[in-house]
Amino acid sequence: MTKKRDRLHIIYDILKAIQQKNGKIKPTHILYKSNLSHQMMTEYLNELIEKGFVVESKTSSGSTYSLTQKGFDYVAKYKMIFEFVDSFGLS
Amino acid sequence: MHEIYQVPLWFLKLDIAMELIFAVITLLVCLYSFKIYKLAEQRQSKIFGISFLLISLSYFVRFIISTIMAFKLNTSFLNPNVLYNLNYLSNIGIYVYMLLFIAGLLTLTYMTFKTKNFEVYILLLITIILAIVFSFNALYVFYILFYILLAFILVYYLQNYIKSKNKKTFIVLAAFSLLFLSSIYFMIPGNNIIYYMISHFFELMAYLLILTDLIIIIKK
Repeated sequence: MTKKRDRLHIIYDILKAIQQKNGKIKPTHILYKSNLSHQMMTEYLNELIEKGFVVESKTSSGSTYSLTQKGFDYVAKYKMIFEFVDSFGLS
Repeated sequence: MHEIYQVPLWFLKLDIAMELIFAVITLLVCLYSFKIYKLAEQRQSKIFGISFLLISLSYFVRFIISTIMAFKLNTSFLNPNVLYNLNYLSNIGIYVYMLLFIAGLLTLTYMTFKTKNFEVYILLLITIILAIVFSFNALYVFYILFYILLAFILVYYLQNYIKSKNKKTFIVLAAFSLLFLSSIYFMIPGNNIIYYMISHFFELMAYLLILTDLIIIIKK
């Protein structure tokens, strides 16, 4: 696997984990599902928030993360994205 | 620069049809890349899309120029003024085509470098534009740059195929190999119509392979 393929897959794993928890998840669950270090997960989440795949909601019990439409679209079209990126060497 | 049009009128018409096919296929690849970019926010997809947009525009320019040429040659064959204007238009069109096409190839090569240094791209772009515009024989410079850039792209897609060894990466490698071979006629002395036709056939095969790859991906 290439570095970027891993990256596309990690993003997929994070978004899929959020989707499986009915679109709302706590960071500890993401950490468990994505198998990343805390620092790496934070970096990925910040990037996903910045790019509009995920939104963060802050409550009294801590932060939760939910998918935007863009996030749902990524999960749904992941296979196609991966195939295109892999075929044309865009990783 | 007139070499491109030293072909029979019937072939010029076939050429026009092929140019339109190349323009449409490359535009499809471009649109699909932008769709992937919109879905995944992946920088490489955006650069890839821009490169195919430039290549597509270059073919559209060639298509428009060739259409005007074929139409005018049919209707005003012996009028010297019209011929002079056609020659002028053809030269301008070929320059625009060469600049757009080589900029597209450079953008594709830049994508393969996986660098985020945009200044490198701008420097290379300015250099190749100046090399074509200020050379005594722009067509030679164009083909030299074409081979150099395509050699880099070929090596990249060969590595990509070795890494993943699947049907789709092989098709892309085969497509760029055919594109490399498509301009080989330019290296052969003389102005042989057969070589010109074979080169166009290679070019057509290259773009059809890219289209095949795209269809395989979309169908999955």
